[in-house]
Amino acid sequence: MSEQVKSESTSLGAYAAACLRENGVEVVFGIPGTHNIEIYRGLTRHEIRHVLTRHEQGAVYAADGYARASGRPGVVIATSGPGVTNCITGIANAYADSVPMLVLSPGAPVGQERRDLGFLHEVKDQRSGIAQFAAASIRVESRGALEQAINGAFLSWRTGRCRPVHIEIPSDLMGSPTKGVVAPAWLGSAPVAPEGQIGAVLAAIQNARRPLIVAGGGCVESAAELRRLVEATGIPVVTTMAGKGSLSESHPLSCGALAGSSTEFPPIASADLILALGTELKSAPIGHETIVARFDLDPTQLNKHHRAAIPVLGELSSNLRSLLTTLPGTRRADPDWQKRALDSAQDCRRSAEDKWAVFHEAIALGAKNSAPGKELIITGDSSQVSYQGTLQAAVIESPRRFLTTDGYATLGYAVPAAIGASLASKGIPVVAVLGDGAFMFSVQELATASELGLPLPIVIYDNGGYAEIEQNMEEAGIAPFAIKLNRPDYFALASAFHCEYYSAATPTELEAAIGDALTDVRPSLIVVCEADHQNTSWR
Amino acid sequence: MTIDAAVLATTPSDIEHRNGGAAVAETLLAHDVDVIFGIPGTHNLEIYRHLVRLGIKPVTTRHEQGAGYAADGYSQVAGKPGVVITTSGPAVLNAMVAAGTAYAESRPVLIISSGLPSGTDYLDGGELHDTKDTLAAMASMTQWSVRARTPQEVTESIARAFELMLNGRPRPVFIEIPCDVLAEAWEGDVVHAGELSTPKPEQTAVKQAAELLRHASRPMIIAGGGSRGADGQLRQLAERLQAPVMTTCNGKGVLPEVHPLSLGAHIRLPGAQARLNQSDALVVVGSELSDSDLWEGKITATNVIRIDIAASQLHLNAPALVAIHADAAEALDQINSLLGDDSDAADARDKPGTKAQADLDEFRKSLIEEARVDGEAWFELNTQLRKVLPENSIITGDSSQVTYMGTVHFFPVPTKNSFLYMPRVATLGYAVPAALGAKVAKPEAAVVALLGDGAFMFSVQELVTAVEQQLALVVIVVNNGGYREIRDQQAARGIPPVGVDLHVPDLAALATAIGAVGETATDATDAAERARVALSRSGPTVISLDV
Ligand SMILES: Cc1ncc(C[n+]2csc(CCOP(=O)(O)OP(=O)(O)O)c2C)c(N)n1
Ligand SMILES: Cc1ncc(C[n+]2csc(CCOP(=O)(O)OP(=O)(O)O)c2C)c(N)n1
Ligand SMILES: [Mg+2]
Repeated sequence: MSEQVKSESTSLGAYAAACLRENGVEVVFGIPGTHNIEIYRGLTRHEIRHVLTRHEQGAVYAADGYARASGRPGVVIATSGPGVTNCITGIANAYADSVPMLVLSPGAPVGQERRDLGFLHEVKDQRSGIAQFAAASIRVESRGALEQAINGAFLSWRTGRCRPVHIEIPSDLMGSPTKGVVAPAWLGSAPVAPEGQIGAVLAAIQNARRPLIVAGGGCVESAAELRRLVEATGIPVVTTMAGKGSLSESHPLSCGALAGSSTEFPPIASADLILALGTELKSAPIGHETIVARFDLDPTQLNKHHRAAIPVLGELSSNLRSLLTTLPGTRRADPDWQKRALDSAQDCRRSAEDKWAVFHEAIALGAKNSAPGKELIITGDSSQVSYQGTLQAAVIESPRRFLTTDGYATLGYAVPAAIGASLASKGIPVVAVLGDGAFMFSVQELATASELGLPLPIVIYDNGGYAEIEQNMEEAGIAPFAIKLNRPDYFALASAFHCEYYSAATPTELEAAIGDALTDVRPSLIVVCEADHQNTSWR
Repeated sequence: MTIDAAVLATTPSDIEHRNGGAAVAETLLAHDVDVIFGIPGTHNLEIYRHLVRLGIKPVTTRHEQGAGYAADGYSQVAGKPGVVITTSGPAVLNAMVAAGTAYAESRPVLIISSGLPSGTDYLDGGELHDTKDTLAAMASMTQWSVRARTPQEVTESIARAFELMLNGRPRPVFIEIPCDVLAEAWEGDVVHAGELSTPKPEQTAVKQAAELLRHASRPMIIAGGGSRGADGQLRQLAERLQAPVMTTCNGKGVLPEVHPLSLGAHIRLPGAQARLNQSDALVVVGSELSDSDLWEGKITATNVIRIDIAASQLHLNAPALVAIHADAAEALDQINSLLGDDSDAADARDKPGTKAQADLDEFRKSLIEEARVDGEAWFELNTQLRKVLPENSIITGDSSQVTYMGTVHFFPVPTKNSFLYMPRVATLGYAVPAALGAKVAKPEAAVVALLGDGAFMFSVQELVTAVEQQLALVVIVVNNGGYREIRDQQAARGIPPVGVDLHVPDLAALATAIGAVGETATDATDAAERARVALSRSGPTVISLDV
C-alpha cells in the first residue's frame, strides 16, 4: 500500500488516519467535533475522503451500507460522548448483521474515565455501553496500541466473522506528537476445514433424497462457488434476507428468500439434508432426522439453534471449492424434489407478489432503462414495503444487492445506507425503498445526499404511519392510536432539500420516475401513496 | 393517590388484559404521570393498551432521541420526572444519548422499554431486535438499569425509580420489561414510592459556614443546577449577605437575573472567575464546578462552603473548607436562621444604591463586555428577543455558538428552569425536542428554541411532532453555513476545513413542508419581531436567520 516507507512526525489522532490508509480505507463517514479534529488533520494528509452526515446515526448506517455494498469495512469518525453514543444503534445493527465496521472516537482524558468530573461531553461511561454491541471496544493510549488496534480490527475481518469494532483515543492524547514509520497492515486469511469434514459432506450429498441449501449472509462472498455447487448437484437454494441474491433469483434452482420466519417455507421441514451456508438458521423447523451440514466462519454458530451433524468450519469459498473438487460424478438431486421445493417457493411468494410484484418490477424496469446492463442495489428499512415487499418480490441476481436491517429491525436505515452504497459502487444504480415512518428517522440525511449530488431515487411507500404497529394493535384487540402520523408535504420537503420530487400513482409513473431520477444530478423523492397503490394498475 | 385495580379495569377486555403492561401504566398514573414520550412497536403494545383508558397521553415522536430530549425538557418545566416508552433493541439505543444527557445534567428521566422474551439473553440467536446486553449498556448511561421479571417487579421497580429520581441527585433510570412479562397476567397492587429522608445538614458544618459568612467581607455565591429547589432560600441568603450570585448554565435564573445581586451565568469568563476567586467566603450550592462550565478555568478561592445532595460532589474540582452534605433548601434555611436578622455581615456592607452596588453594576457591565468579545455576533439577536418575548418565556438552546456564547450571556431570565440546555454533555439536536417537552408541560408558556443550523438538523424530524401536537413553538435557526465552532477550532490548529461547511436546506421551505410556518428574517430585530408574532399561532413556526 505505501510505496515508500518513510518516517513522519504527526499527532496521534492524525496517525490513526495513516493506519486507516495502510488498510486501504478511502472513504470515512462522520462528524467533526472539538475532541476529534486531530483525526481530521490526518484525513486530509492521507487523502481519505470524508463524507459528512447530519447525525452520527446517518454516518454509521452509511458506513454500513458502504460495507455491505462493497465488502470493504465501513469507517466512522465520531466525537466523544454524545457523538459516539449516537452511533450505538448503528453499531448494534452492524453487530446483529455481521458487518465489518470501525468506529473511531475520542474518549475521556487519561485517568478520567468514570470519574463524573463534569468535563465536556462526559457521560457516565462512554465505552462500556458500546462494548455491549461491538465485537470489541478498545481504548488506546499510545502509538503502538493504536496501530495494533486498527490493524487487529482489519485483520479480524480478513480472517473471521465480521463485526463492528470501536477504538477510542483519550482526548488529551489526540494531539500528542508521534513519529515513526507507519505500521503496515496485517495480512492474513481465514482457516479452512479439514478434509475429513468435506468428505462427510460429500457422502451426505450422495445419500440425500431431499437436499436443500440455505444460504445466509455468510454466503455473499461465495456466489460463484455456490452457483457451481448448485449446478453440479442440482440442489435447490433458498436464502435468508441477508443472503438474498447469493444465488441469482432467476436461476432455475432458486427458491428466493425466506420471509421473516422460515416456518413459512415447508421444504425446510421436509428436507433430509440441509447445507446451511453462513446462516444462523434461526427458528427454522428442521426435522430431527434431517442431517444438517453447517458451513461457518464462526465456531459459535456451528451448533446454534440446530446441532450440526457435519460442522464445516472456516472460510466458505475455500471450503466450497474443496467440496467442488470431490463432486464430479455425484448424483443430482431428484427432479421431483426440486419441483416440490420450487413450487413451495412459488406459493410462499404468491401473496407477496400480489401486492408488491408490479411495484418492484416497475423499479427494476426504470433502472434497466436508465442504466442498461447494470444491476440495481436496493436498500430497505423496517417497513412492510421492505420485509414483505422487496424481500419477496424483487428479483435479485447477485449478492450485496438488497441491503437492509435484518433481525435488528431498526428504523432509518435505508436512506443513509443508500448514500453509503452509492459511494461504494460507482456506476451501479442505487435505490432506497422504505416506509413513511422509517423515512422520518433519518430525514436529515437528505441534506447529505443532496450535498453529494447523488442520483439517488428514494421511494417512499406512504401508508399514513406505522402500519405494522397498527396491525399489531388490531390483532391484540387494542384500538389503534399513536401510529397514524402527520407526514410532511413531500413535494415541498424535496424542494427544501434541493431534491427532485415525483408522485407515482401508477407503475408506469414509478418506472418513469426511477428512470429520470437515476440520471439526475441530485436525489429524488418518489412517493407512492397507499391509496393509489390500491388501484388495479398495480395488480 | 391510591389506585383501585378493580375500578381502573373498566372494560372486560381490560380486565382480561390486566397484565405487566397494566402494571406499567397504573404505576405511572399513581406517580402523577399524565404524559409519556415514545414510539409504539411490536413488543411494547401491552403498555400502550392501557395508556388511553388511564388518561395518560402518549406523544409519538419521530425518533426515540426526540422522545428522550423531550422528556428531559418536560421534567425541568413540569417539575416532575419525564417518562419515555420505547420498544426493544434499536429503539432503546436510540434513546441512549438522551439517557446520557439526563445523567450528565442531573435530570429525572425514566426510560421504560420492552425487552426480548425472557431467557433469550446472550444467545446471539438473531431474534427480532436481538441485542447483546441492553441492561449493561443502559447502566453505563443511567443511575439504575434494571429488568423487571414479573408484573409485580414491574410496579416495584417503577416505584423504586421514582424514589431514586425524587430523592438525592436526580438522574435517569432505565427499566426493561421482557415482552412476555408485559403480557403476563397481574393480580397484584400498585406499589407506591416511599418517602425517603434526604440527608440533614450536619450542625457543626452549618455553624462553621454561618460563622465564615458572618465575618466575610467579600462573600459570593455560585448557584448550580442543584440549587433549583432552593431558589427562595438562596435569594434570602444573598440579600442577607449582600452577596453577588453567579450561576452555572443549569442554575441560570435561580436568582432572577434582573436582581441587583445577580451576576448572570457568565461563569465561563476568566473575569468572572477572577472575581469569584477573590471572595473570602464562596458558597457553592449544587454544582460540580465542572470544566464544561468553567472552560479550563478553576475555582481557587480558599474559603469555599459547598452544599450538595451528592457527597461525591462536595470536594469535586475545588476542595471545600466547609462541606455540607444535605438538601440545599434545608442547609440554606439553617444557615439563614443562624445568620439571623442582625447579621454583621450585611450591615458591614453598603446597601443597594451605594458604592458597593455601583461597583457591582460596573462589574456586571464588564462581564457583558467580556462576553461580547467572542459573542458579539449573538448579542443583538438575544437582546432583541429578550425585549420582545414575555418575561416568563422559556428558551432552549443547543451546542451552537448562539447558545453558549449568546443566550447564556445576553438573555437574562427571571426564574429557574427558563433556560433549557446541557452544557456538560453538549450534544446536538437538543433544543427542538426539549422545547417540545417544555411546551407539553406548560402549554400557556411562550417557548422558544434558539439554535444553530447544524444542531437543527440533528432533530429536524421532531418539528413534525410539534405540528402533530399543535404546539406553538417558535424555533429560531441561525444559519452560518455549518459547524462554525469546529471550523474555528480546525483553523486554530492549522487544519484546513474538513466536514464543517454544510449544504443547508432552505429552512423556511423545510418548515412549511413539515406543516409549520416557515419564515426568513432579514436581521436580528426582524427575527425577534417575527418570534413575537409567532407566539400567538396555533402551531410551530421556524424563523431562519442567515448570519
Ligand atoms: C428504532 C425503532 N423504533 C421503533 C420500532 C418499532 N417499529 C417497527 S416497524 C414500525 C413502523 C415503521 O413504519 P413505516 O416505515 O412507515 O412502515 P410500515 O409499518 O408502515 O410499513 C415501528 C414503529 C423499530 N423497529 N425501531
Ligand atoms: C452529537 C454531537 N456530535 C458532534 C458534536 C461536535 N460539535 C460541537 S459544536 C458543533 C457544531 C454545531 O453547529 P451549529 O449548531 O450550526 O452551531 P455553530 O457552531 O455553527 O454555532 C459540532 C459538530 C457534538 N457536540 N455533539
Ligand atoms: Mg452553524
